[in-house]
This record gives sequence, structure tokens and C-alpha cells, in this order.
Amino acid sequence: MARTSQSWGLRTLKIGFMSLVGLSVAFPVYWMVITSFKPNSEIYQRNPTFYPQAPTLDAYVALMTPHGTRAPFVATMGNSLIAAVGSTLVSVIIGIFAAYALTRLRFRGREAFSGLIFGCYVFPGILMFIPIYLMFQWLGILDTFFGLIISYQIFGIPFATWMLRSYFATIPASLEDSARIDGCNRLQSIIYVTLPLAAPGIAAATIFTFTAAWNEFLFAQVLLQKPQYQTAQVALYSLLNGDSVAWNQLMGGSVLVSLPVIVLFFAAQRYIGSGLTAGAVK
Amino acid sequence: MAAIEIRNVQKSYGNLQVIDGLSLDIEDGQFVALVGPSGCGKSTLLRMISGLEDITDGEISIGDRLINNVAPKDRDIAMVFQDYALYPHMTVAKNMGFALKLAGESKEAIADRVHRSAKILDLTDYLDRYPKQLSGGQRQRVAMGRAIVRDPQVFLFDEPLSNLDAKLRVQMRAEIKELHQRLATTTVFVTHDQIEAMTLADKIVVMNGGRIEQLGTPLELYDQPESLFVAGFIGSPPMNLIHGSVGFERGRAVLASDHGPVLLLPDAQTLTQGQRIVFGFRPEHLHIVADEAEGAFDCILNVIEPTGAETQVNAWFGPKLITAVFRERHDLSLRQKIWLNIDLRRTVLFDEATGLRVR
Ligand SMILES: Nc1ncnc2c1ncn2[C@@H]1O[C@H](COP(=O)(O)OP(=O)(O)OP(=O)(O)O)[C@@H](O)[C@H]1O
Ligand SMILES: [Mg+2]
Repeated sequence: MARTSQSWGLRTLKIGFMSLVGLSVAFPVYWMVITSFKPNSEIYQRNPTFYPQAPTLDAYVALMTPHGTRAPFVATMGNSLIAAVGSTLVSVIIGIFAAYALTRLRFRGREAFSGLIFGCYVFPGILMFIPIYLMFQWLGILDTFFGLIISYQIFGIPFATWMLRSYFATIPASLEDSARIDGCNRLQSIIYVTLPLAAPGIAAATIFTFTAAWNEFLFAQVLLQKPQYQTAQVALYSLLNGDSVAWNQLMGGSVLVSLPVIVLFFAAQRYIGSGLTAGAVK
Repeated sequence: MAAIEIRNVQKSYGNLQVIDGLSLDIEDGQFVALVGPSGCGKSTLLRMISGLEDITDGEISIGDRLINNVAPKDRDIAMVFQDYALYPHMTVAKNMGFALKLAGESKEAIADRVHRSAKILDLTDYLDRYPKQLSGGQRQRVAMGRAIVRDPQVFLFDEPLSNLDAKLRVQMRAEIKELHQRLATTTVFVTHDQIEAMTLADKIVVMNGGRIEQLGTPLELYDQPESLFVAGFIGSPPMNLIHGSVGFERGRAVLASDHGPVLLLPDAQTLTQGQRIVFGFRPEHLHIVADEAEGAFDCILNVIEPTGAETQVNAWFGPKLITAVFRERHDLSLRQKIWLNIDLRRTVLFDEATGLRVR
């Protein structure tokens, strides 16, 4: 009895604190969504409104129409998707094999190589900005998605490798030994045993590399100059140029940009979570 | 089924030599136990037979086929790991059928063989469970099932029972023995439990520092250890080992033991006056005799452990404890002085410096 009453106070405190945190996270999202349904006049009005007085899709219609050098917003989202999906595939696939090698194979310089990857991961990519630009110019891959995807690997491969490496380390090597005795070659043992067990790690690495590439602005802005290659982040930024900012369009764009990330999170959720290797050993 | 021939095999990791020119013949259908202290290379040898580890030098053949460069999957062997290594994302049935599936067997054939093996191991009720839903003993059994379902030429076991509790270990030991009698598949079994080795094996290989210290049947190793190492390793409770120098009294060889009384030695041709030796005798070869009988020595009882069938005692021999086991009942009490006689036909002598048997 005493225990219940004691934890009652604690529970109220916990719930109160969590509501506060939840509210401070949810409110900006709520504000973004309602603003996108307001006409600009309502936004600039003296007293803010907490729900749209006259909900309208004007902002979205305007976004979808090309304006100046800005492509229709869906098209820019398509560009972002190409860059993000391409870059995620490259990062995660290379990351899987690199992480496998680093955790399972013995070779000279393995430790040094691991350290190097961590170094690359923490090294600020922006410092490589100018050399990359010059290199891409020399290679003639400026203004190509290929170039942008390659530039995203500066972050993507080290990140995916590092994340998967720590995940692979939790999968007992004896499982692969066992698979090899059961009749797998090395590649089959990876496909049938290591990858299914690494699914949570792979899902997490996918989400994070995708989100990072999807949200990336600077490289996309500089490496892709042609309007038809503009990504959504760059398009959003271009909405800020002008005398009066169309906040409803900016917020509408933000809503659209967050959708794929939200969808991906929910899709990957069931793979994330631990306990997949429970019962394997001992 | 097949014989295994290991010829002068070496293994090094970089500069570290782990297996040092080891040769061993395992006959078709034989059950061989590899025993030895931790780090002596048992697992390494087993993994070289399985192909999981490269062979640095030498040759290994299974059934007349040189397998140095054959992939593990093509060696027709099955292995049970110390940690079982069950696939956690597959049910028991899938775990057991995995090798058959990879070998391209039909669904019906796989189901049939899995069921037959499951029946042998009493796993029929668990086929749809995942490894995490099983107890330790059941997991161990699945690991065994995964091996026998393939009907391989050779079974390799790396300490398969060491994660089980004592009771289950004894039970599984009996099951493994029965299984071997039934299937008669050539088996190499790594353990550092010498009781397991003694009870299961046709032949025991005692390894030490990457070499074979001695090999033989369990009783050969027990009765005729060729070195101090084997003498100390095989047998539980272990053999009593008394250090001292050889002397001669009235034409008979005696041991002036370092800390205790003078002991009569068995007749040996090669002993010389003052030679440093170690005198070994098993606990069950000590007998209580009347006071100061010919050749008897005295010691003080320290611990008495009756188990019903026999009584094990620890007694002070000078400052050293020796162990004795009596099958007969004696009226014993703590700190009592008893007189013991050694059955000299069953003792062994070792050179103190080399640790090798002196005859
Ligand atoms: N991958 C490796 N790299 C370097 N040294 C190794 C490697 N694997 C094993 N060793 C060394 O080889 C020696 C033999 O190892 P092994 O695992 O065969 O011993 P073991 O007899 O099975 O011991 P245990 O009873 O503890 O299992 C040990 O000294 C070990 O440190
Ligand atoms: Mg071992």
C-alpha cells in the first residue's frame, strides 16, 4: 500500500515531465502543419491563430507551380529521393561488407583501419568542400546525381560501417562457423545468417543515412547548379529569398519534406529493437 | 564414416606456434577424446579438421581424401559447438534441416529426416519452437540433432557439455555414448573434463602445449601414464605424487621423501643412488594395515568423506596432503594416526627433471 502511494507522486511527476517534453516537441510540428493551411494574410496578422480560420490549400498549389528558377516542389522532392535513396543504398551495402570484414576477418592494419573510419566519421565534411568541388570539376561530375551521391559517402560510408560494425560484433561468430559447416560458402553464410540477424542494425543504419542525405543542403546547393536538379532542401531555402517570405509555402514544403522520413521510420520500426540473437548461444 | 589421418600438422598465428608437428590416426568409427589444459590447442586442432581454420603445414585426410584445401562444407563433417550456435531466427526444425536444404534435398526428405532425428533426441514436441524458447539442455540436444540429421562421415564436438549443469551433463554424456554405439560415426570430442573423456572415448589424446603428450585407451592412460603431466591430469581424485631421492636399504630401493617418511619403491632397473624422482600412486592403491607392518608408513587423517560405496580420506604425509580411497569400511576418526601400505605393483616413477616415466 505504502509503495503504491509513494510511486503515485513519482508517477505524476514523471507524467508531468514527459508531457512537458512531448509538448515542446509536438508544438512546433503542429505549428508547421497549421501554418501550411493558412493564407499568408492570416499568418501576418497581429494576433496569432492556433488553428486556421479559413483552411486553404493555396500554399500547396503555389508550391507545385514552378516559380522563377524554382522547379515544382514535387520535382525537387523527386530529385532529393534519387540522391537520398542512391546514397543510402551505396552507404549501407558498402557498410555491410566493410563492417563484416572489420569484425570477422583478420588482416594487417585492421585496427588502424577501424580507427581511420571513425576519424572520417567525426571529421567535418564541410572542410572537404572546396577540394571536392575542384575534384568533381576535374572529373566532370558536377551537376550530376552521381557526383552528389558520391559526395554523400563522405559521411554515409563511415557512418554505416561504424554503426554496423558494432552491431555485427554482437552476432556470435560461431553462427557463421556453423553455417559454413552446414554447407554455406562465406557469402551464403552472410546472406542466410548474418544479415537476417543484423536486420535491426541495418534498419537503423538505413534510416540514419537516408535522413542525413535527405536533409543535406550544402553539397546539394553547390554541386547541383542546374534548376532541374534542385533538391527539396535547396528549393525550401529559395523560398526564403524575397521581400516577403511566403511562410505558408515554406511550412507546406516542410510538411512534405518530413513525410518520407516519417514513413520510413514507421516502416523500419518493426525491425528495430533488440533480442534477435537471443537463444543462439548457451 | 571414415578414418581421419593427421600428418605432422602445424598451426601458427603469426609468430605464435599453437600446434607443433602433431600426428594422429583415428580409426573408422572410433570415438576419440582430446583432453588437455586450457590453451593447449584442442579447439584449434578440431577447427583444422573441420576446415574453419587453415592448416599452416602438414596434411589432414578424411577417409583417404586429402582435405587441406577442401572447404568446410565439402568435408562431410558435422560439428557441435560449445555455445551450440543455433540459428536464432530459425525454428528447431529449420535449424536441423538447414544443412539438408543447402544440400538441395526435397522438402519431404528434409521433413522426414528431421523427424527421425528429433525422435532419437526426444525433440519432436519442440520442432516449431525458436531456440530462445528452449532450456539449455534442449538447446544442446538441438545442436546434436543438427549434427546427426546429416549423417556425416565425422562428428566433431567442442566441449558440447560444458555449459550444462552437473546432472544434465551426466545424462547427456550417456546419451552421446548411446548415440555413438548406435550410429558408430567417427567422433572427435574435445573436453577438459577427464571423466567425460574416460567414460566416452575409445581412445584419449592428452595434449599439452600443442603436442600430444600421450595417447591410449582410457585405462592405459590411467594405469600407465608416461609423464608426470598425464599422471596429474588423468584420474579423479588425482594420483598422489611424492618428490624425493632414491636410496638403497638392505638391497631394496627406497625413496627418501622430501618431507615425510622413507617409502619402499617398486623394483626398477635404472634407479641410481641419490637420483631425484617423483613417486606416483593412486588413492585406491593405498590400504590400511596394522601398526608398523613391513613397508607401511604413517600419516594423520585430516578429512574423511564417506560416500557409502567407498570412503575418501585426506591425510597428512609430513606437511603434504595425500588422498586415499578405501572400499572396505574402517572405523576412522579425525586426526587419528593410520598406517598405510602402497600396492607397489600399481605405482609409477618419474624423473623429476624431465617429468618422464622411469622404469
Ligand atoms: N585467432 C587466434 N589468434 C591468435 N591466437 C589464437 C587464436 N585462436 C587461438 N589462439 C591461441 O591458440 C592457443 C590454442 O587455442 P585453443 O582455442 O585451441 O585452446 P583450447 O585447447 O581449445 O583451450 P580451451 O580449453 O580454453 O578451449 C591459445 O594459446 C590461444 O590463445
Ligand atoms: Mg577450446
